[in-house]
Amino acid sequence: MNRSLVGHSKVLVSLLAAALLPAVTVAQTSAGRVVHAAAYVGADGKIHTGGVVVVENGVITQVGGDVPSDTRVDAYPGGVVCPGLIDCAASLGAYGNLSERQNAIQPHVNARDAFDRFSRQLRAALAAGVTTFALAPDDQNLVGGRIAVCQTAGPDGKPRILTEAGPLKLSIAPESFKQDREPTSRAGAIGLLRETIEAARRDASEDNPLAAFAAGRLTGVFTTPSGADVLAALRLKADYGLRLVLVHTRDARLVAEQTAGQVTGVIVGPLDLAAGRREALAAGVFERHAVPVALAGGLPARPADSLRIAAAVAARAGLTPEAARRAITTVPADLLGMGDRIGKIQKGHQADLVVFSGDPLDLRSRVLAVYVAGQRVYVPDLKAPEGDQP
Amino acid sequence: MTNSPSCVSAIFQTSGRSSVSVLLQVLGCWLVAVSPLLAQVRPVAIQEATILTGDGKTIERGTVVFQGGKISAVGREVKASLMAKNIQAAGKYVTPGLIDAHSTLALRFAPAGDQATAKAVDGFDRYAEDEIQAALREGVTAIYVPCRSASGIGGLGAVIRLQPRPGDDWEELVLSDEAALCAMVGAQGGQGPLARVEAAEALRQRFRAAKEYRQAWEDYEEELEEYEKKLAERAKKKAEEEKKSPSKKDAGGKKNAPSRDQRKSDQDKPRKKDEKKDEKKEEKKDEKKEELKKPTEPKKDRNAEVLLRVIDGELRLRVEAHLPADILNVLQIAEEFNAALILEGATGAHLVADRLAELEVPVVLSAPPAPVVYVPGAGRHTRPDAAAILREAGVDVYFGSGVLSSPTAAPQLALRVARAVGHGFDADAALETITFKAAGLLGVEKEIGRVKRGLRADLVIWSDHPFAPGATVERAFVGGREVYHADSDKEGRDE
Repeated sequence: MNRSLVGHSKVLVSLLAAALLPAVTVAQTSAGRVVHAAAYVGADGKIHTGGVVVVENGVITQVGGDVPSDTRVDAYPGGVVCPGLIDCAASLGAYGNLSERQNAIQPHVNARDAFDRFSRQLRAALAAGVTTFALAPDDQNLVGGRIAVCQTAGPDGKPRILTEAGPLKLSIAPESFKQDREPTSRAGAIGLLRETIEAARRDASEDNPLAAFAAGRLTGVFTTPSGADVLAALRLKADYGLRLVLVHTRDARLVAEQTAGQVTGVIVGPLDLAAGRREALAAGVFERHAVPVALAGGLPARPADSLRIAAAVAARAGLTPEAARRAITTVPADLLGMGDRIGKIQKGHQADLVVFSGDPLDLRSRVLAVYVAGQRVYVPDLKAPEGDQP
Repeated sequence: MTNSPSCVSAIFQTSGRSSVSVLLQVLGCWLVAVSPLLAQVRPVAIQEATILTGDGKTIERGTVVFQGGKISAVGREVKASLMAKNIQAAGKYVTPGLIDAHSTLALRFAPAGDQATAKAVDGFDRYAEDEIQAALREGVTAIYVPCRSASGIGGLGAVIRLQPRPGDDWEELVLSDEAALCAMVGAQGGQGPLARVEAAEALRQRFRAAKEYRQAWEDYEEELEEYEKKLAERAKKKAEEEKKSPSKKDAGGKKNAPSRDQRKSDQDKPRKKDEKKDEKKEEKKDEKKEELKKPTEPKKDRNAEVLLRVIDGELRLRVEAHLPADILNVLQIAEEFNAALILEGATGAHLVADRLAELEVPVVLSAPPAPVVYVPGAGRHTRPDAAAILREAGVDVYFGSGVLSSPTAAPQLALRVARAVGHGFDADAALETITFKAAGLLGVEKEIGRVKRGLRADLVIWSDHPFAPGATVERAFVGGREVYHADSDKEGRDE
């Protein structure tokens, strides 16, 4: 009886807190606030002591140093402040099919149109510390369309689109070969892609994303499941001067050397608690060849803490802890072209922060709070479900 | 072995060392090189390590000595003998080999179903070197392997210690080939809504049938006794009659019960009619026995006999179930037949935590984490804090890797437990649940699960605390034999 009473009172307190928070925080916006923990994850991926992060108007104005007076302080003794986690290969809140089936070249498709901001999935991801994700067309088409960079919550607590002008999504995964439309084979896929790029190079119009991609002005996030696919993508890059981010895990050992210096970065994963050794090793292999690595969370087809699981698994297979922390924060922000705005705890960056009870790489750590643009948008509920509820 | 180069260098660098110790070392190395058997005899001392004993204690800068496959000393003040091979482990952690309480690692067959006598140990591929290596790389040195069938009774689970290329050690590695009777309850995808009910009822019927089987045998034995008593009486009577009239020969040629073969054939119903005729003929020869009917022996049923061992409390019952409703069904069946139950998989167990606590049923959580997206079926009950909720309610919680989807899957037991801690599971109890307590659950706590004198030398040297980020296994020993060394792990690296 007593225990349940305590439980109820806890729920009440958290409900009260949740009800009061927005009002309080909105009033405090201009005055700024301080997130005060024991340490923070720096842009280098290392954990630095002095976890003082000062926020004004949604932007980080001070990192480390003394706690300024006359500012509201959110104290998390023992906590570690981390940039909001970023899943650069997700389809959270995607409503309806994310890919057209009739034509393999779909540059006009924009994933923002499939964004369902009322989806419960977004809250589950936010609770695990994921503040930003790439809503990306899937791997069914050679040119899938434009990636939209979205947030699981804006400063008002409601999900939002950060930019709809994200990179272009491409794929030569086997699922892009169909029986009822071109391409039907791998060689055919690469041939069709070359044709498409060459045609786009002749089209100088500003609003054609394919033209921007073909001219090397727009990044292409390119799914290349096998080592041979990676080499094919690198040949395209050499021939046309493309800007590429590769999505590749399996044959990292075989192609890491050739990839080095040729691409903006590589997206590895997702990795789960039973990932094969080859997959687990991939991120570390790319790191040793100085290829920037981001880890994919694969939300919502994976558990909400999938990004941290991937980082923990990769870190046990040779990815350095610094690179593992960067792989779920800084690097994905860079690969999505948002590196100057999000993904780092640095002066001038948007204050998207997750406070963990310890190292974010340590799966024993819990989420204590999540901030987006300086607003606290999540504090753990006592018994929040992990996934969608019917 | 690996010592040979250091031996050579020792010979050339004799200055500054006493020749006696050099001689001893050379001799020691030679012995090691000559015979792997002697390697077992030579003690090994892991020194200066932080020892997590598995039953909750931590020994800072401690030493573990093992010899002949068993741990011979543990503690801070332990001195290894001169002959001992020393392993410097300052700054490193030593734990008992982790125990995966539910894993299909290297399991190669699924029994036909409803076969209580099938054994998981027969389906375990001891030559699956890569898979065994993958488990050892994560610090797991022993696993409980279920005998899984798609539905109903699967067979007998096993507790197996892991060693690549086991060879002659195999017998030593199988700690139990009858660790528990495995069953599965619940519907598979695509079945009708009543399939779950039918599956539970089928299990109940099996136990009921086993009880009836026992009753049939008890009845038979009673009847047989009666029959034999009567036979004896008759023989006695006859003998007495013979005494009175000794002229009659052939006292009791047919006093024995019918032969075993004859009785067996009685069980074949279609043939029974014909035989009855024969019997009648036979019996007519000896008219005095006509009214004495011999009891029919019930058919032997080895499956039912295994189930009876569960009912008698000699064997535990492990049931994989994934919905609260199924779990409640299983609890009811276990209660009805007095079976010592272990639940595994157990998605949704937290919803019936109080009942599980009340009945003291341990739970092995081994379902994969559920995706964020809504999934129909049991998956929707998965939540990362299930372990914490169950423990809070007073349920004994254990962890397993569960059903592995492919032979290349490398289960991360330590990370699974670390994740449970991140979702509220008691951090201090976490390591115990995959070492000492897991051994207790599997009934092998006197063999493995602790760093303790007298137990098997199944030990792991970690670069850091097993739950810490980036912690890796550097070396692993099973029965004192080195079964994993990171430096010689080709698959483990990227070259």
